[in-house]
Amino acid sequence: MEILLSRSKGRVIKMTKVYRQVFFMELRNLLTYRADFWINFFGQTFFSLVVAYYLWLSVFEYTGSQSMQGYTLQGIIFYYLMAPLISRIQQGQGIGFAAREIYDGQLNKYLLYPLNYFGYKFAAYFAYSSFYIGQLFLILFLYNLFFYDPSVYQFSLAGIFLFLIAMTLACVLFFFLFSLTEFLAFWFDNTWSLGVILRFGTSFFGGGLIPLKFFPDWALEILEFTPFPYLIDFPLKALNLDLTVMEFSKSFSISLVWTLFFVFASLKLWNKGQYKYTGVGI
Amino acid sequence: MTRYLRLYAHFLRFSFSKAMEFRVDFFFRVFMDLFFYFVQFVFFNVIYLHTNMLGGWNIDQMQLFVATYIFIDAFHMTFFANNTWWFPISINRGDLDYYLTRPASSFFFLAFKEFAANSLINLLLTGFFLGYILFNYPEPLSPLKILVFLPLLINGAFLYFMTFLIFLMSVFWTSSPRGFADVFYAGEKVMHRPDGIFNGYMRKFFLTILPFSVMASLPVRFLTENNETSILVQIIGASLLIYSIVFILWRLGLKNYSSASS
Repeated sequence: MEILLSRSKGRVIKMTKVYRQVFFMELRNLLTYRADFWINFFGQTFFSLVVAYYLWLSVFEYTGSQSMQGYTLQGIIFYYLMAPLISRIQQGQGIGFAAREIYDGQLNKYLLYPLNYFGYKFAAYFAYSSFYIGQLFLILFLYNLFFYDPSVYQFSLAGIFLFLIAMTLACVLFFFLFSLTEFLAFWFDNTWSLGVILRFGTSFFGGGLIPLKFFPDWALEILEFTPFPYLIDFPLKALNLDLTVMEFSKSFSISLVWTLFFVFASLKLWNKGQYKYTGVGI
Repeated sequence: MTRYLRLYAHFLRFSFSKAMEFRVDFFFRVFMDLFFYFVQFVFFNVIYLHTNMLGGWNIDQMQLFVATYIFIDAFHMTFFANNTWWFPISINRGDLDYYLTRPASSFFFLAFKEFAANSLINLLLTGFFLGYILFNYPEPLSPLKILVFLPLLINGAFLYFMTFLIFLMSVFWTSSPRGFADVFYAGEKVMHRPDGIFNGYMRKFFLTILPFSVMASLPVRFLTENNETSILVQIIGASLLIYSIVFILWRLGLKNYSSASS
């Protein structure tokens, strides 16, 4: 018994080391073209903000309101500053992380190595997500430094803590949800467009394009039981401490149920898909 | 010119046979674009639940604007989008060598080789939809203006493509895998918003240097407003500026091109 325990403990330590290596390797990959990376990052942030600012300024000016659906103009700009960053955290590595390898036969190596495929892929995905979380905190720090407005955002450790919980769950949920479209490549070869649909759908129904509070009530009631609001809207509300304990627990529970569902569905699809895999590639 | 048309006919043939290779993906892509169009309409409908005007436009004008930019998007997706995907890869991988040795313009090869047969279905659908919106527009529209509006849409799609190329051509110097494509995709949202929401320097910026507002907003203004001559001049001026920049950058890029696996 003792030998068995020490063997499995040794295996866990070994695997942890491997996944740590994968994590750091992906971080290095991410930063290969540093100038490009930062120009893309600041460019994206700039355009997202400019478009959101002028769009909502126009709406606020025309209606003459100080606040709409609970958002002031500053509040909504903050929302549009954070939402794309959260979206990027949750979307991690990008489309094709498995589908491409299934299509061109590179999946062989994962099947041959003494590795857990999901463990490897999640370590790679998590490297991206972790880095983007760092970016979000950098932007949050700069925002507080230059535009501090306690009515819009107030730094609190509780908010950060709840955000990290909600964000981690969102990442796991999205990873397994996204895996489903990737594993369909076992049957359909090319599934890039499905990934795009999912990303786009997540962004729209999750509150990435427009805050969910602006949706009609009937739509919100339906959305509440889908996985989408828990990918962007929920972490953002957690960061802002815009949730009561009850609301947080409810969102967390629904999100957890969806996560478990997609973990199960993803494993099922992976197991079935392997029987279809020829390992030949193009 | 005839040689290039013949060449393009070959490109079309290859693209259709390639598209039929992945039949399921063919329909996924059609669905992907339809979903994108659906979201665009819902987005503005949600905003109009909270206001009656946006950037000086009511919901009818906004619907015309959305139908216009989804048509431009479909045109771009059909004729140019696949080329923008391969453009930086071809430069980085050194595939450009092959085109440089052909007795035809290397830019023509890189910019027009790929045609998305699946998006052609969406182009037809958005065309019908735009026609429907124009037909049901509550105010009378001059037939002559509609006639000019159509080439303005094609110019909008081409201008979108050329602006994208400016962002991609950075690969000649940075050798990065996608150039500044992500910045372009973020900036592209400007095209999906009416130009009337912008003001001051930002408005001038999006009407000249980075002419996202020229692509769809100005053609709609041309169609629905009265100062048509100045709008036409603005569209032609901004387009010529971008086309010249692409031409200059391409020549400079080729000088900097260091062949395979640069």
